[in-house]
Amino acid sequence: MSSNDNLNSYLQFLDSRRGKIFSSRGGWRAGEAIWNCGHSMMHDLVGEKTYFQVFILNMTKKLPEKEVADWFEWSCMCLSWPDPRIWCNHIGTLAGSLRCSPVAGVSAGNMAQDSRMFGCGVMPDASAFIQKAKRQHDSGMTVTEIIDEDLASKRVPPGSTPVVVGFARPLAKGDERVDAMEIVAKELGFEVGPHMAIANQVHNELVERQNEGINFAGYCAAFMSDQGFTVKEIHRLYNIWVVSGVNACYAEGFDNPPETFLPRRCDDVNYVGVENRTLPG
Amino acid sequence: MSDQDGHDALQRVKQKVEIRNDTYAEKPSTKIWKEIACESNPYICKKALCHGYDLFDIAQKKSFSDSLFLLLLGELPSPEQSELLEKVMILFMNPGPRAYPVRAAMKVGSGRTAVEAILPAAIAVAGGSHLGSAEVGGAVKFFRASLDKTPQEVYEQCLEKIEAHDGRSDLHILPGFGARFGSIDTLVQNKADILCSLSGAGRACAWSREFGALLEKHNLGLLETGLFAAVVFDLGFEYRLANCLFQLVSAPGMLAHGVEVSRQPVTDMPFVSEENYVIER
Repeated sequence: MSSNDNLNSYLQFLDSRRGKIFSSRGGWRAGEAIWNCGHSMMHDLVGEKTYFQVFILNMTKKLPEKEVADWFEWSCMCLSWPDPRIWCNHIGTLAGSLRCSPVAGVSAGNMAQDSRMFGCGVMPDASAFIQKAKRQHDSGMTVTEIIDEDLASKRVPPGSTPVVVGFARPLAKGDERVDAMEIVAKELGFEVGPHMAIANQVHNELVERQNEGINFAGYCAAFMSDQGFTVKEIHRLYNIWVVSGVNACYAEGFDNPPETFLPRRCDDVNYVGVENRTLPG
Repeated sequence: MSDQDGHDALQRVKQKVEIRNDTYAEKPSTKIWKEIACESNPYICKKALCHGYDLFDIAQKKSFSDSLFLLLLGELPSPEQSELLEKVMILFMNPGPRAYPVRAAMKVGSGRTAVEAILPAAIAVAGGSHLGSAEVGGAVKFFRASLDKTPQEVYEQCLEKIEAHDGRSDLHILPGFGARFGSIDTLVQNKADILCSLSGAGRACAWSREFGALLEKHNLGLLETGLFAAVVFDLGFEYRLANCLFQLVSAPGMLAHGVEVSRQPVTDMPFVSEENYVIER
């Protein structure tokens, strides 16, 4: 096919979509139904399924078992709590203090989790690592070789130690949320799946080598991978991860007098730039 | 199941939760901005300096674009840099009412949403890796790493990927280079004619034009993001600043169109009809 044929075909495709929407997810058919990925909301979902089952359905087109949605919901609970020292929450407090709307404040705080350090921003790498590790292990690599290969691929600033994403936590070592969710998983009837088994082995080796163990992102990535979710799906699902804590901090910031959250005097900012100078021209 | 150290792979070794005791600064530091406090109230600033220059002097003697250059890069621009930044800010100030970030702004405006949501929502849409600020950042990284290669060398490395492309979507062969709606973006080439002929334009601009010319026969060329990246790279902006600057520079168009629509009846914007909304099952 020539490049002109390609162009004409592509233009025809674009023209076929002018003023039209094609959706495989669903939509509102007035007088008929509201469709969510093939399920009628009023007939199949409301009163029948939990909010988080439908949340996962709309994100992935797969309606999960209630136990998966319950586990996911509790995993969301674990990551977010009212502490405005945490980056995303801090932004919520600042927005509340300046009387932004709840939507603006919480959206601003939520955007902070597009981070390489915390929140759902780490999930693509954490999920990709554990899914690749599982494939590598299946093809005969040892856990030591998997870890070594991953660490060797990292570029870190001089003096820093490379870490496996999902196996080092900012601010602390160890992660109490992992133990809590492991109990939840058992109570819901989940067994240790193949990704979690690899994650446990990576954890065990890294604790010995670096005193770094699995963090909550790594644990959730392994669990969700065992439930069949892809890297993209895991990333998308956790975009609400920090919302609860941001909301709390937004509300507290709003409920206190404006600009009283960590107020800063002029000299509370350390100026380290050039001295006063005369502007040319 | 056991790992190579004989641990049960279903079990993780316990790791105690410990604070890392990283040392955090007591105050934030900045090289950019100095605030001199009033004698009567240490929270009130009576004088502000930007990289050592008095803000009021800057306001009296310098243009906005020169002041922005100073704020972001720490020194005033040369006359050549000043001209290039001024022109790029004008040429990129409005992505136009068909561009998705502007459409987001218009959708916010038309939905009777608080107008202060227009810019944050639209700028977030302008942050993507396809025609957005993340692509600008990627292009700047590419220039930093690859300008020593000739356009011909890079073109030859890209050929296989170009020829393998199925033509069903716009190919971006490198960040900032590719097709828009199946074709070369003519307006961008015209903008490049202006910007790359200015004396402030440097190696990245020249390289981009030459590489774009090599791509022409495949209906590919320099994109908005690539041209913007080339210009700001030549001006001395690193990838983080370049990324965010693209959002800032294109924000006026989002603002203008979003607010314009917010004054109109909601029916002045299209709403896709039932027959043109196709739910695929």
